[in-house]
Amino acid sequence: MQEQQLDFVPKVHSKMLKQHYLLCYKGHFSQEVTKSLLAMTENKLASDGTDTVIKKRIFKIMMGCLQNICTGEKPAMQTEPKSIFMLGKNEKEFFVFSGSVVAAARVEEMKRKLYAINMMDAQNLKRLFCELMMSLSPGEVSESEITLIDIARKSGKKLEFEFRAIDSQSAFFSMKTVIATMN
Amino acid sequence: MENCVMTQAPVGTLYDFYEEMTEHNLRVIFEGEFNQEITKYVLSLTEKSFGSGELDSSVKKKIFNVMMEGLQNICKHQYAAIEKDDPSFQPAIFIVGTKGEDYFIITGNLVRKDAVEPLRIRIDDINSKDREELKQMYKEARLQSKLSEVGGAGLGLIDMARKSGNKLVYRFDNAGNDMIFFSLMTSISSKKEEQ
Repeated sequence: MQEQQLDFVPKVHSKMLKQHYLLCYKGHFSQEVTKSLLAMTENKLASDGTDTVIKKRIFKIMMGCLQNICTGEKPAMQTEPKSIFMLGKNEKEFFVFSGSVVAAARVEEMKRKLYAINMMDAQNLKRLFCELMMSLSPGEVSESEITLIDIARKSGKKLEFEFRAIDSQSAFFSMKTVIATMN
Repeated sequence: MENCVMTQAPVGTLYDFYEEMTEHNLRVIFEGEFNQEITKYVLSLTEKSFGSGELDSSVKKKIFNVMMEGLQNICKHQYAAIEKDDPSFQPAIFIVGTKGEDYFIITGNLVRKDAVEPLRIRIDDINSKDREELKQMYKEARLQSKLSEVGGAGLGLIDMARKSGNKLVYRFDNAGNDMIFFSLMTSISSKKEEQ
């Protein structure tokens, strides 16, 4: 029966409801897509009456996550988009999720760096961020890593992350950033 | 699975969604309160999600026309079954995806139990019509909606069927509290219509 084609819809709806998700996007990422996602979020936050300071924080974190996805994408090489972006919100927090396929060989190094970021307190994160931004030579730290440090600073909470092995060559990297919406 | 602090909406759910979206070829899922602004942003996001050269301009126009109808339908009916402030309220959902060379739009929203049979009859009737018959049906429904505020039921459904050129696929699922979750899919072929 044709209606069986839709049997995933109530399941997806139920998952979105249960986890307080608002939006899932899986597709090609670009500056234009980033702009649309930010505009949608702005509309949502305005209707909820979210404080301006917190709104700005959410946008900057979203921008950071989306930029990292855009940087990681290789559109010329892939026909199937391998990145996903999700937003969620409950009474106290706003969640930003980003996920993409990464080379298995990079996983251990990425974990090390993320753990290191999570070990730092606000002061150390700020100091490190400023040092890296003022650095005159590229050094060993990539732009994505600087963005991650900035995301951790702005959220004020540990970055939640997970690596899920897909096959011997690749893994799926998920990251969740939480922003408190109440001071 | 390794992660840091487990909170509500654990980080691992992202991969579950990624797999689900990959399995069913979904691109955009939006769930929440729909209004004219959100309609605009969802349309914009979907437009930008298509790679350059992915879509023929006439197909693109068809997709957006059907999306607009679907989103407007949600705007109109999202609170018809239950008030927004009611604890049992569930927001509507809007999904865009692909199936082979075709595109599909899915809307989902709560309806009352007593609305199910009239909806089923209406959609089956729409699906039984050919192109010319649908055109006539649309004219009659439009006239009826002009004559009465209550009338014109299903105008949006007829329009979606006309614009897509395909049958509407639907499903009803029990949502508790005498409510039914109504899912509706409209498909748009990416092949150009024969002249």
